Amino acid sequence: MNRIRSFWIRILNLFRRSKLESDLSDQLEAHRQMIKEDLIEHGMEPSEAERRAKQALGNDVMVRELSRDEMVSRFMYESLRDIRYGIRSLARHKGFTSIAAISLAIGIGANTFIFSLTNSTLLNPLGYPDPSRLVTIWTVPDLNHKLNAGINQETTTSSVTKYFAIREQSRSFEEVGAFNGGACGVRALGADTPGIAAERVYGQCFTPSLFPLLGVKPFMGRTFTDDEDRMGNVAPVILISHSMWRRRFGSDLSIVGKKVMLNQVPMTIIGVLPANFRLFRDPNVPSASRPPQIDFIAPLELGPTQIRSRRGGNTIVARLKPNVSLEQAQSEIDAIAAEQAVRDPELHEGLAVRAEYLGGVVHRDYGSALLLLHGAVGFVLLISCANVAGLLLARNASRRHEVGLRIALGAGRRRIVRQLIAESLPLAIVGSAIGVSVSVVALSAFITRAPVELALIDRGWLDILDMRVLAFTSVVVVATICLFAVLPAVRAVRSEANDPIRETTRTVTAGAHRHRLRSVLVTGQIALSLVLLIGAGLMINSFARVVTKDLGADPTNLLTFSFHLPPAETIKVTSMYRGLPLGTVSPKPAMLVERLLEKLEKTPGVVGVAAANAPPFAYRPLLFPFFVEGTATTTANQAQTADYMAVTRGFFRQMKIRLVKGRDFDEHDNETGHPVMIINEAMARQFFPSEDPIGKRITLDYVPEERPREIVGVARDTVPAMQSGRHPIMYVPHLQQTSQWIGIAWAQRSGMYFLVRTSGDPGRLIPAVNAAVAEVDQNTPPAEMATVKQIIDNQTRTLRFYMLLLGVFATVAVLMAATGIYGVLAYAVAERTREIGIRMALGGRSSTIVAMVLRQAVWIIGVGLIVGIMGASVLSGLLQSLLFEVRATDVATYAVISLLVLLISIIACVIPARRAASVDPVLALKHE
Amino acid sequence: MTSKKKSEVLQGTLDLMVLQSLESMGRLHGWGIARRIEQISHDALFLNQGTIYPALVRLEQQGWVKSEWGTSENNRKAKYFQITKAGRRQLAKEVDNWWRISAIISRLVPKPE
Repeated sequence: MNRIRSFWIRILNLFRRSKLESDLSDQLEAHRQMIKEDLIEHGMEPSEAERRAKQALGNDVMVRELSRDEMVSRFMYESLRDIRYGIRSLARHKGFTSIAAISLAIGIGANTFIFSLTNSTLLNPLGYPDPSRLVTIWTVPDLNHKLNAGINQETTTSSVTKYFAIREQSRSFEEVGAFNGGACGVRALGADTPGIAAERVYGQCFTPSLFPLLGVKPFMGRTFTDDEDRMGNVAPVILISHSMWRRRFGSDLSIVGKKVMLNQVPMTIIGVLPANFRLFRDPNVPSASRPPQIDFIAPLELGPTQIRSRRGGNTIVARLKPNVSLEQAQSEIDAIAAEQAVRDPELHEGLAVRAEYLGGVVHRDYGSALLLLHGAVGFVLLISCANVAGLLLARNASRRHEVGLRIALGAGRRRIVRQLIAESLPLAIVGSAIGVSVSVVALSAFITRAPVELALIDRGWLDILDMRVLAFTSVVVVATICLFAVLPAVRAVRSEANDPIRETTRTVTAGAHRHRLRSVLVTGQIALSLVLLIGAGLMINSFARVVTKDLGADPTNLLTFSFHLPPAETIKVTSMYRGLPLGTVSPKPAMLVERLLEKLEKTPGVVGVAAANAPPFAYRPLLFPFFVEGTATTTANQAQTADYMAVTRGFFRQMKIRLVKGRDFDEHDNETGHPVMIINEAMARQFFPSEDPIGKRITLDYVPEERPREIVGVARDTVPAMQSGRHPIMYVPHLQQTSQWIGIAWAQRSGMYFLVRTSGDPGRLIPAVNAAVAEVDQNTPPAEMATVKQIIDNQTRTLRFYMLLLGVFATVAVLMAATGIYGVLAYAVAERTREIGIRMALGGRSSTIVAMVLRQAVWIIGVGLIVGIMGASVLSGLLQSLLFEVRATDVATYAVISLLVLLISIIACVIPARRAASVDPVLALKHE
Repeated sequence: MTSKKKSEVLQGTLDLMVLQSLESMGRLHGWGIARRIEQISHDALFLNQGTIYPALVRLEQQGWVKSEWGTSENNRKAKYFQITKAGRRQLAKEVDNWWRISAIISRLVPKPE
């Protein structure tokens, strides 16, 4: 206990040291006076008494030092003094301090920022409790099965029967659940409530088990019971999202139990979802067609048609039991699927299942980009550490002399090492502090501008900032600083005490070995920054190709929206065809589309209107197999497919897609007309390479009663989505589609995507368009209203975002590397001033001196560039999936970037080289 | 220096001597303590009087002595030290310890004849 007490007193005494010390002086003075007076009283000479008194007290300085050691912690006292010295020296060397602090701030800031981001998105993106045990189970083609020869492994959603089998038979999971977005999809809310505008809402269907499985507790009310999800008898109940509760129902606290109309069906609200609830997005659905948010959740409908379906649309989610591995679960569900394939081949033959961790699923499509940024900031941290290390080496190398002298005078080696560490602590603290501020500012700025998929909205930077990362990077930085602050001193300590003194005073040329470490550091910096810059260069190159590519159509002044009726109202399932439900399509949607076209054409400000089965430039539409009449019938395995587009008349005119051959669709191409089709150039090239496609007849192989369609025109190629190439496309008049359709793609026939060409800003026409739609069908509000420009921007935004970040990191890296080169050379020149002076005095020309300095730089730069190019060619393979029309080993990019780095490096060399050349021999010889 | 042979103060015994002096004499200043130790030892102990001060700092931090500024007999400002209750307990412990150790030592090293 006394030890602790004394420890604290010693710390506290640090702050009242001067008082304690003057107190001691007073005591010693009184003591001396008393001895003296006593001796004088005993008859001694005053001067002799003075001498004796001093002698009796012993060495005054030692007494004070010993007392101080008792009063305060010597370690603390000395460290504080060293730190104070460090701060003074930082303030004195402003250039050094600012470069080092900025390097550290960037290294720490960038790392904390990116790692925080990925930890909050990649590792636990949706905030489910214990996410490491959550898995999704996909249906995949069984690659060993003969049915699937030549098919790529693609994950798809699962059938209801597959879900049942896994739920009933598996023992690996605590809980199994499923959801189905397609079954619930888009519905109209409150369309029949007078006075309130109808609105499109997006829903998901959940099994009751999914809520406890994901750990989702309702904000209000309750979730579904098993009774509300009986097969063929699903209760009309829903949970609504927190945002819809606030927005649509004014945060009504008595909402639970109230009824709303969804697609004209009364539904009882039984609960409100928590505000932070997010469902992961199905990576198999193209991002442009993913619903923006979930407005409601209904029980998963498991009707008889679904039971007899080979495919499903059900995403199975399960929670592993503790201590059950993914592999164990996989082998169990493998056995279940194999057994099903044997028992019920019609529905299950050739289908396997695959379990995948949820974390991997959620970010399958852009996780690689974030991992790439991880790598990039890791490089930035390395470079900034190398930069600071180089600076410290240079600064402390000049103290070798001092250190050597002090050791020669008997200073403890430990003491010197401790002092150098303590001196560099202020730098580490300042750098870390700025780094933290940088990452906080970056995070808060980023949250509002992040790609939507990262789902960061509603989250403050404090939720995201990762303290462990911050701690880690700070420790790395502090360790680097301490290591490189001490290194020169350690060398001095290791050599004979008088060596460093001799070396700095007597030698003319500086020993090369002293630059080796710094040269290696700078070489590494150049290499790392080259790798980063090449990565950024590839991204920029790719981005430029995406945004400047010829779309084949004109996206300006176009407004688009979806107009879709509920599939249940428009399609009646009649039978099964090739394992999928086959339905009869009501003529109502097509009729309403025609009426809406006429209505919109008359709206002021509208130049022209058309519609298609897919929004423009958003994603590839359906892929259909087909036969060309007169050619040998191809087997199903040699798939002959093209994108299928059902369009209204005026489509090519409004999209400004030029017809290169034949004619456009006209008003005669309707139900009663002769079936026709227009193909694009890619299709003409691929399937009619040496003949005129006009007049040829093509039969689609999708529904049973297709008739041959005659090709009447060839249109220019367009791109279906921003990051895809050109594909064969078949255009068919929407009125000439058959009256039968196959499941999973119901939405293709329950409505269309409209294209409104406007004379001015398309956004200004939105109210007029809404009004026009309401006049045609007030139960079917328009959805996904956007300008085509917005659709394009949304697709390039993510790409632009990653390109920007990578570009910033690479720029920072190359600037730091340049500082590194400059530092090494400037220091080398300063050290060789005497040598240069002698050379000049002996008649050396300044050009030779410059060459001498540059020779040293050439090695560093050359090796750095070679290592960098090799590193880039190895690592850029990871980038390939993010690149569009650019190979990861694009020679031009490599060459341009390498030249750029070379140029920057040379610029960094010029200043020290010129300084060397302008050395005045007289001054140089006098130089220390 | 002096012809008379003096012993160096044994390491660690200074604290004991200071405490014992304060216990027997009550309130003393630094010089008083030094004088007391020299008198008791009949000047047989070579005491560097300055070393009392680090010892006093140590003892005070342990809470074994307390101090206050006062005036000496010839009107000089001096710091006076006094033993505390905890100091007496400590002294008892150290005295006990001292006798035990010195008994062992004296058995180990017999007095030369």
